[in-house]
Amino acid sequence: MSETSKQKEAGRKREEETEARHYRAPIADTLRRKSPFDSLVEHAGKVHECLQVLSSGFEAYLEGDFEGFHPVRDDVSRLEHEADLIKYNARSHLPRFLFMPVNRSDFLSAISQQDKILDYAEALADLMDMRPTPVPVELRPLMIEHKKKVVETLQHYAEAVASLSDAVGSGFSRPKREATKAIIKQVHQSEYEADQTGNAAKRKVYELEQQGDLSPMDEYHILKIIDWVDEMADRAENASERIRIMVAR
Amino acid sequence: MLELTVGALVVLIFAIIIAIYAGWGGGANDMANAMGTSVGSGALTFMGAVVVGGIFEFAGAVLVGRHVTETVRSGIVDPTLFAGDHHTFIAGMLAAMLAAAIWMTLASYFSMPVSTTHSIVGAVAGFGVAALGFGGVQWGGMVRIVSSWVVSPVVGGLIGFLLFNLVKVTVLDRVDPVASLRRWGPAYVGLTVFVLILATLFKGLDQLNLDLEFFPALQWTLILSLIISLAFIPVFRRIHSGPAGTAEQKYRNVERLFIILQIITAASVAFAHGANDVANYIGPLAAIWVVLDTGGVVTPEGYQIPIWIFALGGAAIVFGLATYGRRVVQTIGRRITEITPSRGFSAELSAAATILFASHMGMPISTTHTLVGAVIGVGLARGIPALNLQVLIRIGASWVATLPVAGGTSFVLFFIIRPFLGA
Repeated sequence: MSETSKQKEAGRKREEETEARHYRAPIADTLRRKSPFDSLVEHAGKVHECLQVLSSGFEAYLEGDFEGFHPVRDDVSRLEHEADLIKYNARSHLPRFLFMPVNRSDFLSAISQQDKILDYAEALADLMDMRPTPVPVELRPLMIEHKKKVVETLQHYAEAVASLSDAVGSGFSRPKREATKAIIKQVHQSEYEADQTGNAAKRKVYELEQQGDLSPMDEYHILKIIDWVDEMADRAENASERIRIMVAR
Repeated sequence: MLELTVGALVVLIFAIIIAIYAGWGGGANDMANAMGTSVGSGALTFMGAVVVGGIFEFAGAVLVGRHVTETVRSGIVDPTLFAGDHHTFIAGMLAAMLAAAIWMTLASYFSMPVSTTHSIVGAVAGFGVAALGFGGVQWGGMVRIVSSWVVSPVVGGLIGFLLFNLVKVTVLDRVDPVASLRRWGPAYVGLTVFVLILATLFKGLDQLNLDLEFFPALQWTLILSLIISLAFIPVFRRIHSGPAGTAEQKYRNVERLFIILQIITAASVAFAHGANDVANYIGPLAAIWVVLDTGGVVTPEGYQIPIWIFALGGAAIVFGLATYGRRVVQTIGRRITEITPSRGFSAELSAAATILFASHMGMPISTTHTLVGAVIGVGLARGIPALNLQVLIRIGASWVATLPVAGGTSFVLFFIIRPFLGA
């Protein structure tokens, strides 16, 4: 157990000791101690952390640093697992009798779409780690440009989640809902740009193949890497659509 | 006044002790539920809650506590049926007090969301059945009382829903919510004090011979609440709200301004609780006192329950909050941080209005359940991230359990106590 979690544990114990036990409190029973939206934000935090790790590892990998990618893969895998725990916890604390200001199934599918981002991140890290694939120098700037756009999409998505949390805090007031929708538009724009840059990178791959500069196995792997990088932006877009439905009306 | 025999004195002291015990325990719990929202949102500290809650609780009990006390004293079991046999009546009221106190102690121990009001009503009815059979209870009145238990949380919820939507339209949905609240705040203060003053002036204040009929009361209420509302214009204008910049800061600032309103509505809830719930503790005591004071169960025309009984009840409730209430308030406050001042204001004002209206009708309702209804109303207006509606099932179950258990205990205690009184 880490030092901070030990402190947290001690804090919780202290809190419980000062808690009155024998009392009637239907007011307290009406409310949840923890908002489900907090779990969504917490889970989005893991997505963000994972992306940071993967993003810098990706650039080093393109430069040929395959050894340095092992710890990246381990970190991604760990973060994905931690995020899974948050997801399970959020789900198991959403019983039928819980009333939320949004549709429950929209909320649940947002968290599961958000989790898919991490599934692809993990699959990508595993794939890259399993087979060190040299990337031709001409291709590198295109792939980095593509990755940048995907990162941008995910950053906008993180803002959308924070904005949803704000909207919840304000009782779904109109200005907050409008702000969230505006951010989701940016997610769409970045995702579109990510698609464009992804296609440019793939076109280059086929070009290099025509010139005979790529082995079929390298080509296959590089295409797959590009696809899965792109998939993360697609999933962020899907998740942001769920958020749009939640704040719409 | 009748000369107190030793027996009567013993009965009176016993009744006062039970009333103080019940008021102490009930006050700690019910007021913690009422004030917990304000402590949880940070509008008040615990000491602030004791001071504000204490003053208004006491005022509500003394000024408006009469209506519901009359219902508990004579609306469930008709005292005139005991003409010539007032020992039986006294024994029954003692049994009812004791039964309710026992049931509330157990309910608190096992953390059941039971209402003190429901248990005293059940206990009084239980003794009526024990003493006179099923015909001894005024069932028409009972049906009205029990139906008000369902109606009051629903009405509280409806008003809470409408009020929070009003707050959204007038303040939270605006581009500059802080400026909007500076404009609307005084009007909301006016609305809150309107409810409070109308409840006090309209057939209240009988102790000061100021009990007005509806229209004169309305007139004075309008004038007074307008004055208070105007007085709050500079308060809302001057109060510093912190740096405005990002949308997030604006929102935090508006909640900070709402704290003014939440303190006022918390005071109204305390006032309303005093008005309605003091009867739970002193209703049977008042019934016993009337018999000892007048020498019979048939009250003379124009007889009024003395003010010291209401003061005693109010003081016991406040004492309960101050001594035993701290941990309960802190625990509740920690659990309901989702209720920000704007939500707290909406829920508390709607609960206070509903409870005060019921008090005027002489309806003993559960203040806590009404507040739960109001909180759920705010939640249905998308004000709260997650509501645990299972609480409704638990509350429903506690309704079903309370009447038979409190009534049954009172039934049994009646037969134990009666021989001691020589009846």
